[in-house]
Amino acid sequence: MTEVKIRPIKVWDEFKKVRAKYYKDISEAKEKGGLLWSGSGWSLANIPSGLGDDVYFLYGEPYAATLAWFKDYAAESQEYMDQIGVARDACSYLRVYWSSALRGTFILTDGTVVKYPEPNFYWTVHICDSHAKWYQHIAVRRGVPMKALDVCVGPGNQLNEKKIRYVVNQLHDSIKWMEKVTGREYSDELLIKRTYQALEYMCRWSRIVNYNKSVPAPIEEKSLFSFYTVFEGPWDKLEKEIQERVKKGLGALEGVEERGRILGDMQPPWPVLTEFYRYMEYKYGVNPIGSLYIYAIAGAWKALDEKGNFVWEPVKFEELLEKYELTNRDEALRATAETFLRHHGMWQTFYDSSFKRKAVLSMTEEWKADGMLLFMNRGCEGLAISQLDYYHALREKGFPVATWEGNFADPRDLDIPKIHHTIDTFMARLGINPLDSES
Amino acid sequence: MLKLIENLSELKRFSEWVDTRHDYAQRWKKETGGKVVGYICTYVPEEILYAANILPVRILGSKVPDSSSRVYHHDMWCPFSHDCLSTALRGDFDYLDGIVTTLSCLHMRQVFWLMRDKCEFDWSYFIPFPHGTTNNPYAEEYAASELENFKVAVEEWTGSKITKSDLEASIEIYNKNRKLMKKIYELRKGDNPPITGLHSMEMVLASQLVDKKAHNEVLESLLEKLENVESDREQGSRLMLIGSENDDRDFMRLVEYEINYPATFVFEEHCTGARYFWSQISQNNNLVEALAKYYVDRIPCPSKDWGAAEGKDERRRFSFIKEIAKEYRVDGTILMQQKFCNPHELDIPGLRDLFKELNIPTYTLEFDQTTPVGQFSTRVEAFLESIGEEILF
Repeated sequence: MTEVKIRPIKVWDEFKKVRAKYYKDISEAKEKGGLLWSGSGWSLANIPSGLGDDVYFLYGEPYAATLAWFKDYAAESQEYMDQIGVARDACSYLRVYWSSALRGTFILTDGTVVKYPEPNFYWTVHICDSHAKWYQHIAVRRGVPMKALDVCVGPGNQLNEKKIRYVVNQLHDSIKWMEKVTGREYSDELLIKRTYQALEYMCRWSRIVNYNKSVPAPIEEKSLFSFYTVFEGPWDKLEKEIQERVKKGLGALEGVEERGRILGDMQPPWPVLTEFYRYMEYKYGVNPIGSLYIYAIAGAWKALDEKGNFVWEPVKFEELLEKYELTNRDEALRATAETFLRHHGMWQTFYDSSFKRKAVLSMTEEWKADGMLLFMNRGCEGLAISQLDYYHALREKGFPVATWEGNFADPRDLDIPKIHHTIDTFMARLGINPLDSES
Repeated sequence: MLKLIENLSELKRFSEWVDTRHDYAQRWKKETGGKVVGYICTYVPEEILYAANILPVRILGSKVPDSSSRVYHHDMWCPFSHDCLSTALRGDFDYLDGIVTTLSCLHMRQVFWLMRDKCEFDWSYFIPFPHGTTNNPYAEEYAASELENFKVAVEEWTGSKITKSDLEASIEIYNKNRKLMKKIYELRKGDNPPITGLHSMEMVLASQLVDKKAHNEVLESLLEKLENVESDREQGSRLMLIGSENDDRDFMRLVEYEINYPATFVFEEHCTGARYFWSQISQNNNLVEALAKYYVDRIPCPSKDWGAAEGKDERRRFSFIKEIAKEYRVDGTILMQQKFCNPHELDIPGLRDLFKELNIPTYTLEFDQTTPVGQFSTRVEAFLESIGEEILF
């Protein structure tokens, strides 16, 4: 019998410790005299960081994902939301987050439940229909100040000075507001330092997922999910380890050659992460090499060209350094706004379905994928936008694609046998037999 | 001589316009030689289109079960967006010369993209209008720049310049329309309102579908007559309807005319109601800026109402609703939830809190493409009974 294992990433333990510490720090931030803010994961964390070195942030989506990973806690949270009459079809991340905040509980990465750490303020970018509404309600209920940032200006290839300035002006306002609600003086020096770090992080993330274009792909998607929200981890070591794998031709799976390369499109089913990914890897020896989500959500890409084609080429940090010399607040805010508006891959997809369609079509080629499993995720309307559009485009192209349905943060709405059945059928279509049947 | 409201020709006209909207638009096009443009969101500045001799008509669904949209449009998108799309896919909007939308909710954005790609209209335009309009000091200026771009795009498409006087005249007609509809709404503050919620919904829907000049004429005539009519129905509970987009005439008819408890809608707070027309455009030197100010300051759609909260609720829409509920002496509120409408459903917990504070009972109903008459009549009757209404018979 072929035994497939996931090639261990040496630096994982270090990341795990950083992440555990980060959540612990969040829960203790205010007790220790620090500041805590919360907002969407799309928010620009470098902006509030000018308030001091002891500023922590609780990104809504990553926290909700952590929460969803703990199945029982997630189910209990979802049931609580049903009981208090919050629409079942509302953003599932929002539902579990609201439940955590309204019930006053907070879960750490080891599953320990502690008191919900009340943020000093909520500050969020609004790009999907739920973002600002999410923090607005919770801010009112808990009596905490809240402000949101409007990024309506359109895609990166249509940017002009007016559009950039609209966002930059709001960022200036946000800083004044943060000073007012926290009583702290804002440090531009710190802002500049954190802005460079934020841009570097984005460039690095696109580089890391770009390595998966290699055959075999050096890392599988489940591991990518474990890393991407750890902003201050040992990234150099991780990148070197992945580079080394590419150089040696080592894939993410041990004990088997990469038998297939499968892409996804959405966030993963957090409560059944292992059951979903490991099933494909262990039973079929295929590598889930990534998704539109994991590639585009955190990286800086060349993104849209003049014709609206999506260019999957990582932006070099050196290029940004050359473009932006940050000597004052306005320059730092401008660099932040422009980089996100122009190079954040997923941001573009909210402005026209054609961008997402083109991004998906070229992604299948760039990453040399064999097939794509689309997750019709009932829990996230924002990223479900244009899903059927690119589904049809993939089919028209003759690219193998299958869909499965569920809710990424609600364990009550994830049917594992059915998901496995979809994977089995899809593998059969791709001509990939279970490993056991060939041994 | 007093006349019964139901017999007023003006109300019948509104209803007829809504029923025959496609015929109307095609006739208008033939008679005037102008273009007809469908707009998907009420944040589209119709005034600019109208100034270019274009008839703006709102894209609405047909309330007919049709699954054709499901092929392209996610099942969890709202029934209104599905209805609009399937109506377009059936070819009912083929007479449109173009379509336009603003940065509205995701579902309606998706409808715009799909209509653009599947229906092959001659022209389409997407306005990146500010998404957050409450407590956003930069929204107006930014909106003005995007509306200016839109005006230029319309001029390029039609091949003729929109002059200042064209735009002034258009704004004047639109302002008049808003003013007249508001006057009619205000008549509903008193006891035994002269018109019902069904009438007022049809009045507003018609205004979104026909030439405003013609609509104004009927409104003026209706206002004159409303002083000399009497209602032959019992007012019953005074209800307020709150929602996102709602054009469910069957539901209005059910509540006001068909169930066993008397009730009258005295106010509709949604984009086929007061949100569409409540305020006026202040004409100044720069008309595009005036338009931008109007659209940024209007009673916001839930999707755009997310201003800063300093530990208290600062939703602009909520203050408006609170004021109206008092002014119109509302006995109960129906929260008309368009299934899957995220922006509205995320306001519902806050709305429930607000009405609890006002001591006004609320009831939430979830709406789909068609109205489940039997189920809703039982539920609304139970609600009316719970707020103290007595059975009619």
